[in-house]
Amino acid sequence: MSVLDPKKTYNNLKKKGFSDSITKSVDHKRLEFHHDGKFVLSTKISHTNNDIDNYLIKQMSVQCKLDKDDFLDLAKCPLSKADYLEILAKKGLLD
Amino acid sequence: MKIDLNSGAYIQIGGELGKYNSLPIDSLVKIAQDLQELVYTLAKHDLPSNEPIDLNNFKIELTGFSQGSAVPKFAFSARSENKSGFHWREHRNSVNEKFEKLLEISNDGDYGKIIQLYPEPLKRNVVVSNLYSFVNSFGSSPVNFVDVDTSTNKVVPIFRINRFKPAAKSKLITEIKEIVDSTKELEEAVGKIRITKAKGKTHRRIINTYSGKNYSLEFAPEVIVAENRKYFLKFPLRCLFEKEDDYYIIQSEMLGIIGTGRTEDEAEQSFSLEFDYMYTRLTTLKPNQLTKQNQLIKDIINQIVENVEE
Repeated sequence: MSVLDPKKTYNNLKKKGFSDSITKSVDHKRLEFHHDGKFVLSTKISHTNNDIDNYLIKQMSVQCKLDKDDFLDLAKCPLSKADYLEILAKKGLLD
Repeated sequence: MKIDLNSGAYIQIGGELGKYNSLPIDSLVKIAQDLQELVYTLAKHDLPSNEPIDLNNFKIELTGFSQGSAVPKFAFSARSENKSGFHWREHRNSVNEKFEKLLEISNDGDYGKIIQLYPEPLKRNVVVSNLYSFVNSFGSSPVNFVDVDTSTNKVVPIFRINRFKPAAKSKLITEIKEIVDSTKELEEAVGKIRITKAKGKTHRRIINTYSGKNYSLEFAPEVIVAENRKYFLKFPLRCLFEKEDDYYIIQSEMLGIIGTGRTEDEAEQSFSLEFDYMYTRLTTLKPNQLTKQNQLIKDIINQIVENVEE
């Protein structure tokens, strides 16, 4: 079972081009991904100190349009922003 | 050795079958085939396994008839091509010895003794099956293995072939269950289950199952309740409902919305919040701020939602 540290994940996703959403909640933050001024996707990330559990990883993976392994690479670093854009472009999600 | 297949063993067939000093072709063929099978079986199971065994050495031939009744004589083939290997003679003698022991048992009529001759079920099963077939191939006709004095044509009974009853055969046959390949095939299916509750007990009965990727469980809300808003839909929003590992998933692939949770309620609540976010967020964005995919989702959501109650 994989778990992610919420703070590290938040910071890493920010480095990959994600930005804070205008919507806010007590227990979570929302990150959005924009490309060429267009809203592409958003994902919800835990705001508490609890690790991001398996079911939240599943949700974030789907929201980021990645399979679980690629999402873990995106969240932990190996998958670069350029690689990520390439994946989204191949899926026709940047048009 | 009372019976010697090397020189030939006479089988005296009396009664209805042999009363004309003749044998119907089909009976003779059946008797000969069953005898041949029995001899082959003995050769396969009773000879040393570390020596080459040529089954051709155990071919039986019909070598003669004598007067008195139908008395065919069966012997190992005398043809040179059926005498191969160094030990063909010893092997034939070994098989003959076992054959004679089986005839002794038949003569006693106590087929249960076969278990002493063949304690191993694997060998016994096949010997019993072939012996049963052979001794019953004569029908109800009295049958003897006999010796015939060729000078006087006098027939001297050696072994009487007694009927081998099915019940006796069943007792001797041991069921051998093959090891079933334990490799499991995993297939997922969804189904319709009828649940009945009576006297505090719940019974579930599967009515139908559907397998394949085209079938799935669904979650189809007509009203979506988020934190501060209630969405009334024109028709149910059909979403996938799945349990994966230790959590639940509700996902609308059409709208790109997913909710997950450790319980069904948590997953539903998560889905509702995601729907609420998507609806409100897309509403705030102009067409030139949306990808084609998100514009499509916005259009669909606007079509689905009848009204929103704050």
